[in-house]
Amino acid sequence: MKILVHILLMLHLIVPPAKAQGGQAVDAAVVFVGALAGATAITATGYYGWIAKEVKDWIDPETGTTAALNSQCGLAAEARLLRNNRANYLFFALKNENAETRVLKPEEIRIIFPNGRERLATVQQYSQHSEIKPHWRVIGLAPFPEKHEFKNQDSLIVEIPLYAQGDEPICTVTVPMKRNPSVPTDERTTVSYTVMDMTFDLGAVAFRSKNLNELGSDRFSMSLNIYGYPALHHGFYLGVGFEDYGGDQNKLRATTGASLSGTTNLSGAILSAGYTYRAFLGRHWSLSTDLGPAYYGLTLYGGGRSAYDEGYFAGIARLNLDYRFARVLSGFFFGDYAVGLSVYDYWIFNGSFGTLPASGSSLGAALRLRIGF
Amino acid sequence: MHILSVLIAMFLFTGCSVPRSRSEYAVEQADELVTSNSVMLQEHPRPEKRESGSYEIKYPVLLQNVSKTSDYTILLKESAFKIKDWATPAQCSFYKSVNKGARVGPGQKVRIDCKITVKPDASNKLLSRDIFGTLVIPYLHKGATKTLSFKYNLKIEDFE
Repeated sequence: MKILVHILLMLHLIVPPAKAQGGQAVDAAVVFVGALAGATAITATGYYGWIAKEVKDWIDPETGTTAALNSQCGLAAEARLLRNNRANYLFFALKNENAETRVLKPEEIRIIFPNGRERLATVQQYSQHSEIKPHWRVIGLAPFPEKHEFKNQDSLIVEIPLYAQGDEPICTVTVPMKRNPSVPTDERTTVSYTVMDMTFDLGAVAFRSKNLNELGSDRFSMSLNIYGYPALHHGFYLGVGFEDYGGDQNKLRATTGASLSGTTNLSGAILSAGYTYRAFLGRHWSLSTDLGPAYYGLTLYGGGRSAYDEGYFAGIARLNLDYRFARVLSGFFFGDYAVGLSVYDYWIFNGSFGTLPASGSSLGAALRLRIGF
Repeated sequence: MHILSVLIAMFLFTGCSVPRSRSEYAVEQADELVTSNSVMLQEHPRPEKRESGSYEIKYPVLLQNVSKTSDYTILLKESAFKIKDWATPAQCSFYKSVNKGARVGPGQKVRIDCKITVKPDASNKLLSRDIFGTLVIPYLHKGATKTLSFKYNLKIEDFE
């Protein structure tokens, strides 16, 4: 569902601070609430996404939040760490208590980790410099470039340079943020993961057990699967698949008694649903396994029409190794893209096709493309 | 099927919405105290009607003493919720009672959870217009008493 909204509305990654000032401040606050609470907040500047949760293992037990406050350069500042499944986000807010206007350049906000790694906040191309007039405030939301940078880190410093008129910053607001080491770490802070995947697999059957091999010798297979992951590692899938058996017309006519004419072809159609488990092997690689019951239908086509069919109770096991090669956080191509190799085994528990027994196993491999959200 | 699609769409776009904000986001500074109401905006509590007929509003706020030397004393028992010339006491306490006293030392960050009770006689006045109330939390610094203020928008629907 979140994904649907993502797809429909697209994710905009930062509140242009100019929009957060003055008359727009209420809008901006609504956006903030939306961001924090996961509301479908839509403003003139776009949709700010399902950034519903604070980063759990950075929540200070003494306040119940990740919020850090500070005051420097005559500005009051707040920073919080939020996350969704694919990225961590920095929420920042500044209130100008000076008598003069200050200028914020969001693309210059810097995050410094104690291991020495320094990152600039990710902002959209059209992000604007913003005046913060006396007693006005700005708020913003910027994604961290990578979740894995939080691994083994218990603190970070947010640096926000501020300008007056020139090109040199006149002051830098720093907001130190600390993680309480007594709070157990949460893998979701450091692993970028999807909550819904779609895969398209193209492959071939490598081995069929004797009974199934008797039905035909063609090998092409394909499948389309949709995965949902309510938990980081655990999920479910729904899939449809196809296996080609080819077909010897005379043999199949004799076996089934069907009246066949024209091109004869036997194909298997599989509808399956079940459990999936995935493990993350670093930033790009993941290994997953699917297991579930299936309906396996064998249909004999003659001259393009179904001439004979049988359905069977079956099972499927699948092992997938995927490499994520692209991660797009906003725009039309929003999603995680991966290619992978899948090894699968269908097995039909019992049954016959015409006079031939149809129980057995079908082992194959496929290349697959995965798009996740 | 079409009706099912419509029902699903209704679920998606109404079931997942959250109440609108009851306050503008505010990060403020008073002396060396920086305050924020972001927790309230995150948890977006709405007034809840109690069996007694009164309404209860929860309002959590964050407060950090950014001074390196000064102490601040938060006068929690004198907190109040004010609507124009009307006021009611607010029951405020430190989150999970982690702060044992009223003192907020140098560099210390605390969360204060306030509970505001609006009784029916007061709420009756609120039936005809949306109105801003202000949570006021006094503090003592260098012998002077000052206040921290946080807005809250009361809606007609809250009391209907």
